[in-house]
Amino acid sequence: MKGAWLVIALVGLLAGCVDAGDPPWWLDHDRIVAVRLEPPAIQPGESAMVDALIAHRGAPTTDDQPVAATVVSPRALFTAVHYNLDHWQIDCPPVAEQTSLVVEMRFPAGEVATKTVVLGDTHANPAAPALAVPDPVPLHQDIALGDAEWFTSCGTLDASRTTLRVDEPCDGELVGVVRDLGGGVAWQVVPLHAQ
Amino acid sequence: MARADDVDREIGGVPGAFGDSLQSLELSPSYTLVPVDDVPAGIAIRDADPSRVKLFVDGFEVPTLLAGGRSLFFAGISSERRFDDGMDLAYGGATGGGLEIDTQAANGRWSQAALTVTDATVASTALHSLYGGPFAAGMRFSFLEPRRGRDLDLVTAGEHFDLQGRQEWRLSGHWSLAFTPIATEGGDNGFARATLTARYRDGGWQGTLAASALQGVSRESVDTRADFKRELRNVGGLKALELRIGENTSLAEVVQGAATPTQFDGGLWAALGAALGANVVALGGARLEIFDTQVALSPRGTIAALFGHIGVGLTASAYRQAQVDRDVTPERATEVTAIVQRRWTHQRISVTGYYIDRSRILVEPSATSVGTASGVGTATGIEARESWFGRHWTAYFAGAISHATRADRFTAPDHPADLDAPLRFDAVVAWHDHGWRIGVRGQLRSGLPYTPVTGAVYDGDTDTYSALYGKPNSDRAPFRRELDLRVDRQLGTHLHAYLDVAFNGGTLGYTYSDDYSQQLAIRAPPVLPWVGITGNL
Repeated sequence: MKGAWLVIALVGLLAGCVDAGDPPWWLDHDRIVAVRLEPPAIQPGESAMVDALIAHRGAPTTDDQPVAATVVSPRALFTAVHYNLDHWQIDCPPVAEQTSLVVEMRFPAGEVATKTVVLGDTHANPAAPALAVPDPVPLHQDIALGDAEWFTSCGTLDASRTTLRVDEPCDGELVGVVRDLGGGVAWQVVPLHAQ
Repeated sequence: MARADDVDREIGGVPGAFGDSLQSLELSPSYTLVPVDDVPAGIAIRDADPSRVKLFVDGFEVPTLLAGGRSLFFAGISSERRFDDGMDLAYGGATGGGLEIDTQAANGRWSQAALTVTDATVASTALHSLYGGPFAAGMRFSFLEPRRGRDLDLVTAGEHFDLQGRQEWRLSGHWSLAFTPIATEGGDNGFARATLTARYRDGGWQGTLAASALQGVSRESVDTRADFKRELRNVGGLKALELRIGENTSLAEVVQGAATPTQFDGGLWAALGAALGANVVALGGARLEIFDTQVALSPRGTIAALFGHIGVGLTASAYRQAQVDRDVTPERATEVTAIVQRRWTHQRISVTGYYIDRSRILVEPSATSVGTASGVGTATGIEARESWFGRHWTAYFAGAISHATRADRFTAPDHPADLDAPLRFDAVVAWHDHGWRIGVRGQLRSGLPYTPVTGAVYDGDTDTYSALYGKPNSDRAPFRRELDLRVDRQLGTHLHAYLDVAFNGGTLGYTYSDDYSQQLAIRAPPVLPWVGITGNL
């Protein structure tokens, strides 16, 4: 055991360091949290809508629609994406077989994302994760959050990102995102108030 | 070709080099140890990255001379030869120069043991002649290797051995034979190489015949090398004439992804040297490089003269290096180097100016272009070194001003080369008396250029980000400053201990957060202490 501590101490001496960045679950940060197609797979004649959950530094998350969108591949299907009155949507053209259509979109603050919609198939988004967080959130207690990818701007998440702990009073948000293998995405946003 | 100037020995161990001979290389402004995961893993010469610098042991290429950031070879049975101001015609296949470790003759009786923070080394000659000739061997056991993992946590890469040996035989009055195995285990560059070298010497005739085999993680090869030299005196009005011819071959199986193609590299060369006068020497020749089906000619020449205590030299050399895709025309480098040296009894100064023109550099494919060997580049610089030796004081100063650029093609705008460091300064002052030696070293280097991340694209399918990059190498890391202190103490007749402390804390480079929204500085440890003890018998 002494040897192990010696090794750890030596490694510490030899180590440089990297400036700490925001942890990946931290919501108080400009970033795209998730992009959702509704639905993620469409049959010819059907349409899919697109939106994204976007986090902002010093402000709550927003559910934004893209301000621009275009087909990345296959380019021959570029007419599948178009602006319809007040939003961008994807219309499924006649396709002989299932086709993955990659769409690139730009959001109001300049964020850029890509997302694949499956043409010639049927698939629905999963159900949004259930959030059972007490209000107000008690301090100094571990709160199990369940199966989802969690983000917060109040308190901290553990390494597995399934347990929330708040040690100081704060106001923020807790976001849970679920994704399935078919490209389906759903999220739930709840305000957090801890004291 | 420049000999190692042995400054490290003269100043009694370079502060900040942690008792490691390859880390002492950085005292020369030509050399940079390039880190991978913060641990020195490759050797760069001027603007040439490690992929363009060949490393040799006893005339044959090896994948690495570094393991766990420390040099493989061992004091007592190895010496180093530097090719930073032009490569000898006997060597080729690299556009960035090289470094050779020569295993030394295993004569005499001595033993040496060293212990540092991370490794233990033992090297010794045999007490009695083995197999009819002198024998020496060295072994290093590394029990700790610091390495930064992908997640930027620190891990230890485990323990490993390095081995090196030399067995010699004197076959007759003219012939001698040496067998020199070297091996390092572990890591991506682990290898074993065994070399058998026969030397002939008879009056003005000298010759070397050598064969070697390499077993590496990504390369296995069988290699040969031969050279012959004839020296003549007072021929055709010349004081001395030297004729050299030689060859080297390497037949290798190289791991490239799932494929293991067989590759052949070869070189045929001839050189003529002449003493044109009492103080003027000229050397010239050409080397035919063969990379599978590619053939290229590399002429090289040097003229050197001595005017009193001042020596001047001018070298012009051409180099070729095979591309990864062997069907593509080899990369080219043309180098002109001028050297002026002045020696006094206790002082010497040398100033080197160089210009390097590079072409047919492989340009990595991008979203808008396919990879081609269309890249060009130049490097210019002046390097100065001054050594001063007093009774109790030794001082060494080195500085370099340089400028290195690259462009994707001849008509494209250029940008700083990856290893462009416009300013570099190193100063060492050491005091020694009564078994004590105290050295202080200051280092100042321009930060290396890097390509900034200007944004990121979120992939909604994989929940990951990919970076959007700005202009190549358009930003630069801050100056690196380092202060090193080394204290050596001779303990009796046979023991020598040292403490080496580096004070740094500067920015080594940058990384980014997962979503590329935050640039995060990678900082050197603010204080890095090192201790070692060496015993000699």
